[in-house]
Amino acid sequence: MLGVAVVLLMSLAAIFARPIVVAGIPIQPFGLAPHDPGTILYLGADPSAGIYDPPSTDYPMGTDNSGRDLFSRVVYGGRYSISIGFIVIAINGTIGAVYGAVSGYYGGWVDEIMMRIVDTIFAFPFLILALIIVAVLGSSYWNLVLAFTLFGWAGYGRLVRGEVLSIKENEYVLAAKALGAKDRTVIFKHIIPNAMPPLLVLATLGIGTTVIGVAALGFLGLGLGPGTAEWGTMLDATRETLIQGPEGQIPWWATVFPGGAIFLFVMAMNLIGDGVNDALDAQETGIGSQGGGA
Amino acid sequence: MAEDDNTPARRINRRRLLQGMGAAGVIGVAGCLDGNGDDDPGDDAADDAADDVDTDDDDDDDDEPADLSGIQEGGTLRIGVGANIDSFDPPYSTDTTSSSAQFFIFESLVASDTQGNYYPWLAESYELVETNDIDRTAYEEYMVSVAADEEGVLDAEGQIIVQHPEDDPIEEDEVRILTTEEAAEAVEDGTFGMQYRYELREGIEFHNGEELTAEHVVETARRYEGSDVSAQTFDSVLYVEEEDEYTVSIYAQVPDAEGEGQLPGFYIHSLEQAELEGGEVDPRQGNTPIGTGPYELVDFEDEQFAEYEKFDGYWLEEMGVDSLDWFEGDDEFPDGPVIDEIELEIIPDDSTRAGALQNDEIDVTSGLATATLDDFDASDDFIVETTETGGYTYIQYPANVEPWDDERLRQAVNHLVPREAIVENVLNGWGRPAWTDIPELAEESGTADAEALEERIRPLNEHDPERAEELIEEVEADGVEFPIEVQLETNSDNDDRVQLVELIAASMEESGYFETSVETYEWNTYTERVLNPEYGQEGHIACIGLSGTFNPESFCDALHNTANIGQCCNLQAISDPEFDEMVDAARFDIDVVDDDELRAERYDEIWDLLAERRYSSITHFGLTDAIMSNRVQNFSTHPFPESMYSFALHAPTEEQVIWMDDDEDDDE
Repeated sequence: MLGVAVVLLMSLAAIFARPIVVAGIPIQPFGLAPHDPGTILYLGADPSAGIYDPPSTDYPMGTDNSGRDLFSRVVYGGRYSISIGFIVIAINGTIGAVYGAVSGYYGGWVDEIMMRIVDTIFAFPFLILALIIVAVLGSSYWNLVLAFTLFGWAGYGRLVRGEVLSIKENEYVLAAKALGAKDRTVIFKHIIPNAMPPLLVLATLGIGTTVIGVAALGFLGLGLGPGTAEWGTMLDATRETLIQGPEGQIPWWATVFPGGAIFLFVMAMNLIGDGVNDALDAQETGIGSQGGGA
Repeated sequence: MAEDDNTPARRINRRRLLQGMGAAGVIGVAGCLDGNGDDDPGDDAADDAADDVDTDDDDDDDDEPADLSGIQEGGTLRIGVGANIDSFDPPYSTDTTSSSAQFFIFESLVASDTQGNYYPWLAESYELVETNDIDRTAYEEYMVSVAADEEGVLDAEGQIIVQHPEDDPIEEDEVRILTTEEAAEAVEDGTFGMQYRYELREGIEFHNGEELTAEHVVETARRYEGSDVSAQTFDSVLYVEEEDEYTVSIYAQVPDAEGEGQLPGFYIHSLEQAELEGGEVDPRQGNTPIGTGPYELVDFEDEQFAEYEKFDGYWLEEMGVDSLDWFEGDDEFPDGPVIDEIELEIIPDDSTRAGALQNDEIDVTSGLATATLDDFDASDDFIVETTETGGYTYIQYPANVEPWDDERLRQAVNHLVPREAIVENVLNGWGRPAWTDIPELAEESGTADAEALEERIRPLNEHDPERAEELIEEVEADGVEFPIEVQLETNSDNDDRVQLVELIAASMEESGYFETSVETYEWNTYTERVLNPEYGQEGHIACIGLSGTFNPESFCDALHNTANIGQCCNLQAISDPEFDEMVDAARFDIDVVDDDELRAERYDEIWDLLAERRYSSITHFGLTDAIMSNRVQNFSTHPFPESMYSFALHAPTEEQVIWMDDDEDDDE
């Protein structure tokens, strides 16, 4: 429950961080974050603000390398990381479920070919593949989503396929087939719903993995554009401060807060994953130990 | 010249792109692209110069004569450089790091000091023999016709020295040109703009034992034909002629106010290597570079390091520094560099270089993030030396794309460029806002009255959102819709430059009239992108650094001359015939060759024109910086980063010499 609370809190904070306006109509008027994440304070909002100002009452998390309010950026940054995490997992889960169900249900050479494709995908390090995709296509929000979904569904496909292999032998499936139900009906009405529990657990853990992956690409300078308030990109911007000149002070707040946000969110998602796993009978799904690192 | 900071690039023709912020060039060249704003500047050196603008908190004592009595001979200088040495082949490289690696080995006929004065070097003396008042049409009778294809590419073999100014290769099927062969005929008939005659020193030995003769100069010039720097070389050079074994004449196409520095800009090759194909004077191609310089390359590992050792037969040590007629320095001043070995360690990441310096893995480096400079400056164990360079950073607007073709819009954005905030907050004070388009080192020949120029131009370059709004409202009244979406671009490997672009983008966004995004690219990808002639049609605002020289032309010509489209660094394909004509008249005109005042006035007109048309906004002028351990004694910086180390090691022009004080550190 703690995990759910943290994720909910962070998600709500991100949504309500700044007003959301679509086509000129405000659909979310609240603004929890005191400043726009892109506002360079010394340009007008607060000429006395500098770069790398330490945390203070005005700026509880200090300011970053361009003199922007870190608190606003960390809160707002959830919009990128969290939304990409959920979108990617929704897409991966859907593709993986259908792919795995088809593969497992039909079996034979269909299964053979489909699983060899999955094996091929598994032969490449996933983050490197994502990195190549972003490097080739350029960095943007939807390119990141593409990078994590183009091959990211493979694990889900394999998991569902394994489930389907056992589900399809169940009597209710055999009965449906005997009654003349179409394959499509059997797959979507009987098989996939029954393969959902392990898929849900993997998907929950996968959100955390994706958020870390997005942050990793951001840290490597391949995520969103520089200056974007995405957590990994924020860490990248402060990377050079880690080696200071003689007696130089590291502005710890510039790395600790965005890094802490990543940690907190991923930790919370892992807790939720464990919780879901327990609730859905971990022994059956047997994937409770996965998740985490990209 | 343009140079790129750390990086760079090929095909950039004598200019150097600065990956970093500093920049400029050595003799005779014009510009280098600079990628990193702080790192590496340009290449040629030369012209007039700079008094070093020390940043206020510097503890240098440049004005006091150095005490040479403590000189210690021997030792190794370990230099951390921020980019790989792309080439050891002088005419086939345009980036500052490569140039600085070459300058230990290669030398020119003429040397310059940090003020832009010229001194005979490999030449014992030189003189301006003759100047003729001609323009390029004077070569008409010597020209040959060659076919031009639809894209204007000429079917010519060899270097095109002059193209008939009235022929347009795109419009016409045939174009009249002058190549080296016809240039020789023209010179024989007495048709040329200027003639400089150089008397070479006798007895100068190359690293391979050859003795320098006029033939070396002629063959070197031949190797510059068709090279990466051919455009910058042969915009002025007409022909190089051997008069006798130790006398050579270099002819200019037309009277050239920069002729003294530009014409002898060749780095003299040995005959053994003058025959090599472009790019082959390089250990990666199996050829150790051979020059007349004080050091020989002994080892090189690509992307890792280069090692040099003193050359035993260095001509200046053999002849003695007193053999330089113009030298009037201290008797104790050594005849050559006193440090025995140089190691160039290639360390691209600036924070890694900062760490290496603190861990005593290197003795000196440059191009560190400005945020760390204050720490080094405050420490007793390190010394920070700086000089204002000709290096500058600019953004260029897509002036051929609507609505950016409206100069009021460009002027408005120029008023949104917060130059002071850039220097204060992004560069931590290590730079100077570009209130005019020229830095101090080019003011002598670039303006009749620097103060009046600043008074006139500065109000047009101030951060003034209100004035920007007025201008934008005028544009809006003419039917342009706001907000305008625009992408600002720069290279990703220069943190300061990325922050600078983010700051400009934020300032534009704050006005409410623009929706901006910032995109960054790896240096090589970026230079390839922005040097593509089609880039100007994409509608992005590009930011890059360039290395200028003492020649004021280097602060406007490279950016805006039609001839530099697709070259360094007219990124947005700006073509303004009025500007082209003015910039030509400020250099290639007999009137300005003899009249410095007139020349300066013509440049003033150019700055006024550019302030009005505002194709580009120069944001600031950088500093050449060197950060070193206190074992390095008597270091003094040069305004052009590529010349910094070769100058510091030994430069009789200013009695500059460095040595390693091993008493400071017993570990070594």
